[in-house]
Amino acid sequence: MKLFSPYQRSFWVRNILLVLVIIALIGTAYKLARSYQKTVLLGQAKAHFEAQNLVLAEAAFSHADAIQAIRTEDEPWSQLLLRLGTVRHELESLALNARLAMEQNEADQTLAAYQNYHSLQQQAQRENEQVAAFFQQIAQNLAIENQFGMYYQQAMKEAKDQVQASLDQKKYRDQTFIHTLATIPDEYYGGKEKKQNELEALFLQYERNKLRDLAQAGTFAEVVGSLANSHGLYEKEGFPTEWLVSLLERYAKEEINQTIREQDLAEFVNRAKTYREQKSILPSRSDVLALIDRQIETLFQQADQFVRSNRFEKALGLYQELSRLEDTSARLTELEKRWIAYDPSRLLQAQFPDKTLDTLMTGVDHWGAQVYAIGWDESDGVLYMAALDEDGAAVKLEQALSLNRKSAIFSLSDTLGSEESPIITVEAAGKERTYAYLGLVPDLSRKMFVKRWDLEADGWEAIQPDQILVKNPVGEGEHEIARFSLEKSGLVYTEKWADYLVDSEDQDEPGQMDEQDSENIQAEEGQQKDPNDGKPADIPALRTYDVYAGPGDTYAIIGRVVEEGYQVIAKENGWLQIDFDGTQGWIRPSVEP
Amino acid sequence: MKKRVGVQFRKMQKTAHVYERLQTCTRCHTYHVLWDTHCSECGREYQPIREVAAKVTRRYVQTRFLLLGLFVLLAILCADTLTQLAVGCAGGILVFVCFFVMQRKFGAYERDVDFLRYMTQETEIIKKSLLLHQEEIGFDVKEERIKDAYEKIREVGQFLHSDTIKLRKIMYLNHFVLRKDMELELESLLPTTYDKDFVEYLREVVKVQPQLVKRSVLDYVNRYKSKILLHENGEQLIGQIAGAALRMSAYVAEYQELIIEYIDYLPRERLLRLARMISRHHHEGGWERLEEAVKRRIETHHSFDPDFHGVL
Repeated sequence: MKLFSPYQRSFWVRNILLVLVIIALIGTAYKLARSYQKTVLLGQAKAHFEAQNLVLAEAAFSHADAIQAIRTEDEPWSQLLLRLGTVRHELESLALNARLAMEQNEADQTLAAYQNYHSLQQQAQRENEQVAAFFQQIAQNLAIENQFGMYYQQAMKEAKDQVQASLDQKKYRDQTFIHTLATIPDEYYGGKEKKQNELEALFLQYERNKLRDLAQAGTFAEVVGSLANSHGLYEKEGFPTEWLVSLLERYAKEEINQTIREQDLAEFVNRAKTYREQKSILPSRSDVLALIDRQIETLFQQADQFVRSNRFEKALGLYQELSRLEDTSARLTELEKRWIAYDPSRLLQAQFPDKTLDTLMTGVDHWGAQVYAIGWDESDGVLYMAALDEDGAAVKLEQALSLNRKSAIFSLSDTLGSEESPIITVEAAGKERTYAYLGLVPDLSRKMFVKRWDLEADGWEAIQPDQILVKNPVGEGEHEIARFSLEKSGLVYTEKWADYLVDSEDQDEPGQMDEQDSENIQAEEGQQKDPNDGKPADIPALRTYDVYAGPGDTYAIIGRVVEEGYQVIAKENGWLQIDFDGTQGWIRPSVEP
Repeated sequence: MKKRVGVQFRKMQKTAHVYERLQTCTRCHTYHVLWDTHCSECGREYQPIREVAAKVTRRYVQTRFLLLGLFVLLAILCADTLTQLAVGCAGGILVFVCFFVMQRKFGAYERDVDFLRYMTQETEIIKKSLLLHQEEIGFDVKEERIKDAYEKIREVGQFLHSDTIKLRKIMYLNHFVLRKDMELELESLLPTTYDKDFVEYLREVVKVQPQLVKRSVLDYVNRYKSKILLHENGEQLIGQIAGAALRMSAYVAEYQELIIEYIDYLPRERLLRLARMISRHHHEGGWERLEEAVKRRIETHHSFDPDFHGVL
């Protein structure tokens, strides 16, 4: 069976169409009514227009124009009324905006409305008499000019009162009156020139008083900042500011000269920096800026003089102060270079700033380093080295050493190794023998120390760059005075050089061997020496000590002396002052023989 | 022999066209050909199909008017200027008037065309409704309401002309005592093949209403006379039919072979009528064999009957 019979289908189709037609009929009736209304209103507008009653004509036309049901042909009279409608809309909108701006005391928006009003007025006057007359009539009806007049007179009065109140109370934070007074149109001052003169006199008086008060109570930065702020406000309003810059220059010159006279470098830098920050508002030939530049040049010359006379700390202080004004990085680099050359231990401080190291040795042209410094931290048993490589780049090495830290003595062998790459020897109390010996060579390219040997013995002596005599070493050569050769792989036993005789007590406690024992052994060794061999008859017991420029590890190492090869002049804090090559040096008492 | 009952059939509605007997329920979308006036499903009054078709046509016309109106109104709504508005209104009125005039002039034709289309569209629905009627008839027969069943199938038979319907009608009619005052049918019950129930019915109808014997009946009897003769008193039945054919001289001329063959079974008064017809038409050609047969029958069986004297 079909869903709908023809009877039912015809019923629904007809009724749906009926509903649509009713809707369309309502729409059509509305359109016809509105079209009729529009036609009537247009007729009224035309009648008023012919009677020269433009306000009523425009009102009727505006109502008709708002009806969108039908479009009418444009005619000359209707085009004019359309234009008048635009004028009325613009004026009404302007009046509304102006009223809102005045109520909210928005000077900028009020000024914009005022300028817009005059722009519209001029435009209307340019068009034709009818539009101009209509404009005046509508503006009069809306009382626009009266509103502007009342607002600006009130604003001017309030701004001047504010100026006076600021001067009386010596409070200069709120300077909104500048903007207010600047935005009041010329006509309310009696013309552009009068406005200029009146405001310049008012602002000059205000700024002078403000400068005087601020200079008495505030800092240089506060005064300059306040004047610069005022300058910004005036400039923003398009007001001339030469008089304000003159005030600022006079004040700043006096203040900065005072710091120069008092040689207060920190304050000079502060003021100079503050003043330079205002460079954008200053004239290109500012006297104060020139003064600052001259003073900075003088200070640089002074710092350079400090460097030349090795008074690096003073020079550094000066450079650091001036770095707030100028780029001193190149000068600081040069200073650092010179300082390191003068005192290489500074390298260690620079590379390991968080460490307090005993400087063991410093020097130049070893292991490919232009300059180097080696330090030792007894607390963690790590050997530190800082150097400048051939390219001048800083390199740092560090290596933990497993030896008796307290007894460790470091020295630079003048026999072993080459002149360019000598071996650092470390001597400390041994476990199985009296001493533990360590040979190290820094490898800057690998940034590590290369261990050349590590042995325990009762004594040793380098007899050639690659030959060592070792007394009673652990392992090969035990109970001998053995000859070892220094190979790439380390020390290699070569031959027995002589017998080594020790008493049983020494053997039991090798670590407790004292100097007297050592001397006894040396004596015995001397007896053991083969007089026909042509080789050294005894093992040297004398040690070498680094000579420092002052009583402390931080001072530069200026040379080396052998045990008992010096004359003690004085003692200070455990250091001995000695006569060293005609000058005075210091050695460590802890390693004193 | 079955026992026949006496019944009074309901009067059949006389209509100029068969479709006028069709009624429809506009709510259920069903059709009805019986005498009920309200739908058994929804209770809504049946409406004649012609009226419903006319309503549909009227709605089509209204729809077209509304559609036209809608276009005109849309044209007015879309008008941008006063001129366009006026043109839209005037054009709309003109179109309306033209359409109205055309509708007045050709509306009657449209009704007929729409009715035909309507019937074509609804053929299947009508068939289904008639099928439902047949199911009702079957139910009546089960309940032995044979009279109702016949009256219903008589109505349904107006639309369906199959042998099944005819034979069911004959079957039902053979339950009743036929009378002269009954609205009997004969020609419309003729099956396309031989049926003995029809022959029995024919025997009863010829007795009460011999005027129902028409050419188609005579053809049927002529065609199946060999089978009719196998019935009890088959010769008498054919003789009665031949006697009934004597109502019109055209039938006599056309079926004189049948009459000659069964002239011995013609009742006396039918033979007298035949003799008189022959005497009136003996000058026309083609009646000689019949005249000869009638004369021979009169001479052998009615020579002493004064009514036959001087007829031939």
